Amino acid sequence: MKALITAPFHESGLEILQKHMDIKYENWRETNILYENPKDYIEKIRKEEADVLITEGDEIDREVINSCDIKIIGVCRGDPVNVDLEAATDKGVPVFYTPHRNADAVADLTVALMLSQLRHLTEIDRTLKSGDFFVDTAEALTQMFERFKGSELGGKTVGIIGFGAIGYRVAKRLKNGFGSKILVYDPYADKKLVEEVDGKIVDLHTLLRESDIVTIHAKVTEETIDMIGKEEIEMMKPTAYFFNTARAAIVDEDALFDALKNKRIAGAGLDVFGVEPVDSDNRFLELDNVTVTPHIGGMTIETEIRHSMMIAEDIERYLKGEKPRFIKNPEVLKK
Amino acid sequence: MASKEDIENALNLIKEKFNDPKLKQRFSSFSKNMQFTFPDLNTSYVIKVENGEVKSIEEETLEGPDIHVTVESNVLIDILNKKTNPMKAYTTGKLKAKGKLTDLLKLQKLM
Repeated sequence: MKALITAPFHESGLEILQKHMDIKYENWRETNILYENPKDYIEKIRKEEADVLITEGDEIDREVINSCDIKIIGVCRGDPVNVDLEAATDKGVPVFYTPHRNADAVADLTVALMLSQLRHLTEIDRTLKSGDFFVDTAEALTQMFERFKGSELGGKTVGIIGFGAIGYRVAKRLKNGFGSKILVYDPYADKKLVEEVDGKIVDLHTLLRESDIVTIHAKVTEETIDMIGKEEIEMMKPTAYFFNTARAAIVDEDALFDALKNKRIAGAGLDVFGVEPVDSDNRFLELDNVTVTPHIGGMTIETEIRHSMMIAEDIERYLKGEKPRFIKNPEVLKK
Repeated sequence: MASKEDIENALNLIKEKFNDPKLKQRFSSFSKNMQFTFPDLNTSYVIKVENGEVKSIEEETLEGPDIHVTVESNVLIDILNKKTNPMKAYTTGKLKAKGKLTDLLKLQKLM
């Protein structure tokens, strides 16, 4: 067997796979090549004589699956949306994937954004770097202390919208690390997990009205698209902060921008936007009460190690005839 | 469903973006064919760009465009008129884009 690995893949995962197959490792984040065009991908797979594909973003459509002798597909993503699952299943090709690979990473960033806002780190950093900020009088000293006075995460009421793998991890960090009070809005929340963090399930409007901090961790579905609009933002306390490390489609970005610009709410931490990738054109960068990150919530060394191990261990299990843990089309195992 | 005239007006908004001084520099060596396919209108339009200048916008279908966007006519019009954002359209599957990564990153700047 030979694997063509275009996903970023940690050596711990490579070591496992090397026991079972030859490997061509061409990390797309080093080559800058994503195979969006099936013809290019087919040509590459044939050239490498690969029958195992491990990918992060390449498009594995029916043409690719039917044109090549592929035996295994591994996708280093929470959901293998770049694979034609039906075509893979038709051909009996197992598709392994990596659910929640980056949930801890996103939860970490969410808490980091909260701390950044509560302690005005973005504004402070910008002010100090401006080259125009001097503290050489007693008045300037006291003004600085007053201007940069922050608040603490402990004791705050945090409203979590979407209580899946990431929402739960955020709640755990806040409850156990800071002693925050947790409100949850998620019609599908696992009540046991909510109880574990002493959370209280409430309706959306109650969450928005009562929270000092509102954070989004929902998936994009028909129910959640534009779930937070002008009306919902108006319900938030003027002292409240808003965080979105999930998806931009859940929030009316124009309404959020206006609310932040007009100081209708205190601030925000945002990792997802209507136009991505984020660069210096991003309009939220104009605002000192917003911490902007360029959709890097899941980007950690540990995420790469985790997804590499999940894929490599599952492929090993499969090759040994054992039951894999994270397979998107388990029906192929019966064939 | 929009009319062909609406679509042509919308595609002209993309053409105008090439005159934006901020974009001019970034697109100075950009020479690509961008095909927009509208399944609801059962047609495609191609914007041909050479060295950062739009040379033509024609109703046609190419064999292998550098960038291929598939989108309902009203969705593209809403994006270009800032009534919806491209990421929302992409995330919800209303806009599909194919092409090399570098070209798609450029496309994002035109939306």
